[in-house]
Amino acid sequence: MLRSWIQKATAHRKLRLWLERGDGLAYFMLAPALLMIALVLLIPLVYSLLLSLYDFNPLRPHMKEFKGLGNYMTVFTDPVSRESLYHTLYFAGVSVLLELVLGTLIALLLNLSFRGNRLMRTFILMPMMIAQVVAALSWLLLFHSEAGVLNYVIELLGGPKQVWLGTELAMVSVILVEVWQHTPFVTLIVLAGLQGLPKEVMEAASVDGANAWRKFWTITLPLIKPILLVALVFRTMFTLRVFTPVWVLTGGGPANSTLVAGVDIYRTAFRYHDFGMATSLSWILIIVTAIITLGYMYLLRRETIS
Amino acid sequence: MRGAAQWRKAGLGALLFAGNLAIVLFMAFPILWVILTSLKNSVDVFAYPPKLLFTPTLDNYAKLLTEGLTGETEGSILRPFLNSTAATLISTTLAMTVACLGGYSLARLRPRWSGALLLFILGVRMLPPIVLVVPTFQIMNSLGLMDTLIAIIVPYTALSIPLAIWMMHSFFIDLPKELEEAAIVDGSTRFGAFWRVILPLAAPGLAATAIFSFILAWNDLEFALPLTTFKATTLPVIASRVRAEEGILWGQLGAVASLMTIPVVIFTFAVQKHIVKALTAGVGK
Repeated sequence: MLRSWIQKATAHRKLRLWLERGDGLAYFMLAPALLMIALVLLIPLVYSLLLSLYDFNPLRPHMKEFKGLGNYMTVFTDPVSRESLYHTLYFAGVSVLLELVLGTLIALLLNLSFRGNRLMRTFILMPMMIAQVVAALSWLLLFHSEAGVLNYVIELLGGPKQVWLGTELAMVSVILVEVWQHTPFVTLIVLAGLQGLPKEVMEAASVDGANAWRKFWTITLPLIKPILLVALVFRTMFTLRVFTPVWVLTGGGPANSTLVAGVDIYRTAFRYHDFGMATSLSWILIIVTAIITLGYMYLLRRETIS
Repeated sequence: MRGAAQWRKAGLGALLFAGNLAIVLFMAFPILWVILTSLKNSVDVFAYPPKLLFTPTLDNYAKLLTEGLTGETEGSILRPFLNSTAATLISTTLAMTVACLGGYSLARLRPRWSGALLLFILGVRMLPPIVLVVPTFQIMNSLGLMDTLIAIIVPYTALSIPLAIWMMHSFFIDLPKELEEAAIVDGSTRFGAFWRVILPLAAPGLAATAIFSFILAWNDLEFALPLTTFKATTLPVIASRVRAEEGILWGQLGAVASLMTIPVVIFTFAVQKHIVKALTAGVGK
């Protein structure tokens, strides 16, 4: 009895010692996080890789058939999937470019000191913090072709009413909502960067008689280039995976004119019940995102080292 | 001479004003408009030209409670609201607990491989959530968890963890080391020092981190759309189902949108200054 008690105590002590010294406690505290990541994120990821090699319909689970890379081949030959990949790159490219230009311009403006500056900074946070569903719904009201505010303003200015979510303009409209919601992100981090710039350099340039335009191109822009690259990395990563605003505004239509990869994945899986195709599309999205992001990160690293 | 300089100054002032006005109109108008819409009666909502001045009413909010968003028999918005609230609060609490422990470990205890682990966690954060929706659906389906809150709480928690660990890691690293050393000298255990000394000091950082978990769960559509159908639907799902073309339900639509926005706006203002740090976690310095 006594012996077993002693044994227990030392075992407990050993455990405590292990927890107190070395990496025991460290790994013990990390375990829940790593476990969650492994179970909920990595296992589904691997599972989706497996699914992408099969012809699998969840409504007929027993008819699973191995296809190898067949689904991937189909993605690259099927006109609709190819179109969705092209739309994704187009959407991301145009949105990110506009966000960077507009975001930087607004940041330069807010970097000036004037009354109401703080209020303005709060205002521009608003689109970024609201839900993507809410953003899309707000614009849905504005886009309405009969009673929407946008067409009302255009009519006031003497133009013809537009069908904003029709085949021709749907992509433009979806990009507009994306740019509206995420330009503030660029503004915010560029503004933080601008405020970290050395004041002496800017003052010295003013004394030397450089005008604002030249000062921006020769001093400010090179100095904030790393920050712009950070914004570029983040915005590209997030626009490539866009789903919610497009889903709510157009559902990928009309006539697939706004079909981006995110919507394509969702539609293929849950409307056409083709999990094999949906997961291969997913993996192509992952690979494209990784290549582009890592490319930018390489540029960023070179930029910050030199 | 004096005239020219003054003109220049006035011109710059006007330009500044115009610029600001354009930004406010562009950025704030859509949100203000949706809030205004939520306060209009069913005639004013669809009026053309659009009405800026009208007698406000809370009818739309009342209708949300009684007949919901579809105008059919689907019922009150109360259940989705409670679902959203529960899923958000539970997943945020879980994610923050797990991330505090992990962030502290990586920042202070620095086990072997901690650098590699941080990079790995960052890599996981780069993963597009949409690619996890399909396998998660299949897994939840085979576990019999479809249309339950667990089916969405679990992915929300896990998806929040990588960013939360990164942020908490950076907050813990900024705290002076002497504090815990003093606590340990005073006889506290390592964990005791973390719990009683460090965690309270990191509270502001904790709040800032929590808002990102909060937003992720509160705003999510991607996971909730396929994983919930009736019992466990959240507000974004209900809102996304409305067919807005007809305009009959614009008032209620506006009311739901406003309802979804209010909690986030309150939280955002509370932790505004930490947001930049969070947004660039892992890339910016």
